[in-house]
Amino acid sequence: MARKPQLATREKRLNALGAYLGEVAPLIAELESGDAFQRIRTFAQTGPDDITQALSILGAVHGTGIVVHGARGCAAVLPRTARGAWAVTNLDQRDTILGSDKALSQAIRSLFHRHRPWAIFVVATPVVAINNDDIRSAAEEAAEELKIPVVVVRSDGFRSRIAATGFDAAAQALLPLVSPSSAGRRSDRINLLAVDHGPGLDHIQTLLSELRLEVQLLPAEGLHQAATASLTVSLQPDETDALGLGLEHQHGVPFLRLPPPIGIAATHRFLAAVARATGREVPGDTAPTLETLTGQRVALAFPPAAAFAAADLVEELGGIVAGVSVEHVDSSHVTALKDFATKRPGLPLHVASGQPFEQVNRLARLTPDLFIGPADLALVAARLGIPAVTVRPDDLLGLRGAAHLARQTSKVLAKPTLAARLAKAPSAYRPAWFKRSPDWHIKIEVK
Amino acid sequence: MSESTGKHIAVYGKGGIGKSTTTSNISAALAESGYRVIQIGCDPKSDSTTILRGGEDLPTVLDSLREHSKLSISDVSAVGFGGVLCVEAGGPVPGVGCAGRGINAAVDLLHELNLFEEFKPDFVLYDVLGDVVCGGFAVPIRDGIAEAAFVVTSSDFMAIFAANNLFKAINKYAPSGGARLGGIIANSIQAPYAKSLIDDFADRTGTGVIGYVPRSLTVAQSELYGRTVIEAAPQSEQAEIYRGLARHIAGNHDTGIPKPLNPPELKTWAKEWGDRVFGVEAGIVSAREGI
Repeated sequence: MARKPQLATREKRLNALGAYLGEVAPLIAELESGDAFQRIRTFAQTGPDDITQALSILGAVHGTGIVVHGARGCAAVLPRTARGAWAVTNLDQRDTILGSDKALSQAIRSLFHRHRPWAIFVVATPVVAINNDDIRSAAEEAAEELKIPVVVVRSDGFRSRIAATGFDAAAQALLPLVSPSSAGRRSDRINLLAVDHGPGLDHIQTLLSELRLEVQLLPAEGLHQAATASLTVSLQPDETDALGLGLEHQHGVPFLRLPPPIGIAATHRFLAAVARATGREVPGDTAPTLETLTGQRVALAFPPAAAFAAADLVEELGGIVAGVSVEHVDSSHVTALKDFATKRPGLPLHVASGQPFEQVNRLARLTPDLFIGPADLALVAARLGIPAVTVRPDDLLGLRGAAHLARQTSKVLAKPTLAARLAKAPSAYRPAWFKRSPDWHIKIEVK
Repeated sequence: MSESTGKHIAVYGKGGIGKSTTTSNISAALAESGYRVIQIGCDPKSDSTTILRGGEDLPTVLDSLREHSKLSISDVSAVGFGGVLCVEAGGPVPGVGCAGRGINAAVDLLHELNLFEEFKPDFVLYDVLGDVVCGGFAVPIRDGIAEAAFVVTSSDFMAIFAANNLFKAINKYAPSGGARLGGIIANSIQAPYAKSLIDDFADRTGTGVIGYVPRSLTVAQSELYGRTVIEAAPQSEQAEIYRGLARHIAGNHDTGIPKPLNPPELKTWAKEWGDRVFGVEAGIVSAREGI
């Protein structure tokens, strides 16, 4: 048996940090040194893990099945995100003592016979990691019997503090499903990496098609023939860069690492870079002027690559960036951080995945005119009386995304009544918490 | 043998049976023959490599990990007799945690530190805690860490029982690519029937004995000096026995998949031997002919 594949955590692979509040310049220095000081939260309100993130990627792959090998709660995210068939082995006390390989084998076979997926992912969970269950043997036996790939996903829910490690675990599981290209690469075909499938993605696909490029959407479709593309680009680098890098290393498909096409200028830069890389004429950069945030101070919260790009978009719309919160930060963001620091000297960066208690404290101090981010944090802002726009990164993609955000922000800013009414409700947090600094519970790990 | 990471061998056996002594002497004999050797103690007691290091302290991987977030190879290794690189995986504080998982994590960390690529060993010996009591202790033979396993046993029933358990684990994992059995090392041979009993167990399980190590005062004396026999008594007969084991391991030895006895078979087999041994004060007991 080949040595069990190792999965480097984001901390080890990219020096990632999941907790930070402060100046960007020293953060850049830490990341560039290759030895960032790990921070810990002495209290955390939310704790997304690698399994959830791995499932968000794997659930997007058409025609495949997922078996979550663990307690039933480990699959809780799947009803919302999975497009294909999935099962959970529902491990119980007896399984944890006597071993659970039979339960896994049964679940794989049952899923296969009911739904006929072309591949099955077996997602490991903390139970399996603690018990040291041998899921590789069960997967290999099932693959041999069912004649389809059955791939183990090396997630365990606790090895990394950075949930994005789960994206890398998913990429490690997806790469063996890519067939080598015997016919070489097609110059008119590119791989487009994206996890969220929404109108923004459709829009970008259309823009790329206008460059006379055939777009293979990964990981959802076309995984088999990903090696036939001449280029890979990503709309969500934080989620998919491991897949792009893997395609480059294992199959020689160049991975063009670009900031996501969020904002008018960024969209043009994205399309121009793809056009140049594929030998096409660079498209023109005309676009409507959309200044709906003139003079408005805006706070943002997104995954890092999307957040840095969205900050530029806010400024394109005439707004002023008052604060940015990202889910994590790592050495792949150094260029974006330098750009951020140059454009907004002195503006601190907040690193937190969720953590409403920190966000509420920080937003109460920032007092922005508008918050833009995910629904859970938009609610936090609204309850402080801050008008809030709920958008996903997909909503911001391309020229359509700029227009969408302009429209949404105009609507929200024109009707601030909802936030004002919500602010009258009693706060869930004690006044004493607001007297402390937002990073009260962020400490440098001393070892 | 892979040029970059060497041949990885796991040595199993019931606790206290002389597994660490045997492994350390094999490591010393291999090193004496000019091979580059790493010995990794996979036992929470952390005493696998003691006699290779003159009894000096060595921080375990897990203890070091507890104290420091970033480790280097030099933090968790020491060079012992003959240049053998000694590593102790260590374990949790007694009574808490999971030792099997700890060993797994420690071995993973050694891979992450590129220990094998940097040291370029010819042989890596894993000295694994006694009985295969759970999935954790089966990891070296299961996850592609070791390519072959040897079991150290005496003629005591519980040592045989532990060996049979290891055979069950190998039998389960070897068909899907796990480690295969290299053979039995018969240790602490003293009773007149011991050799025959172990031979018979090997016959019944479709395995073979690669060497017989007699109980010896030389071993006890060497250990008291914190040395292997190879170092403390290199001219002794005992040292030559360990060299023989090392030569076997270094050679292109056969490996196989054992056929472990099921519980009633093992019980019946033990009872038969109990009947044979009963009342015997001296003499050799043949596996076939009985007393």
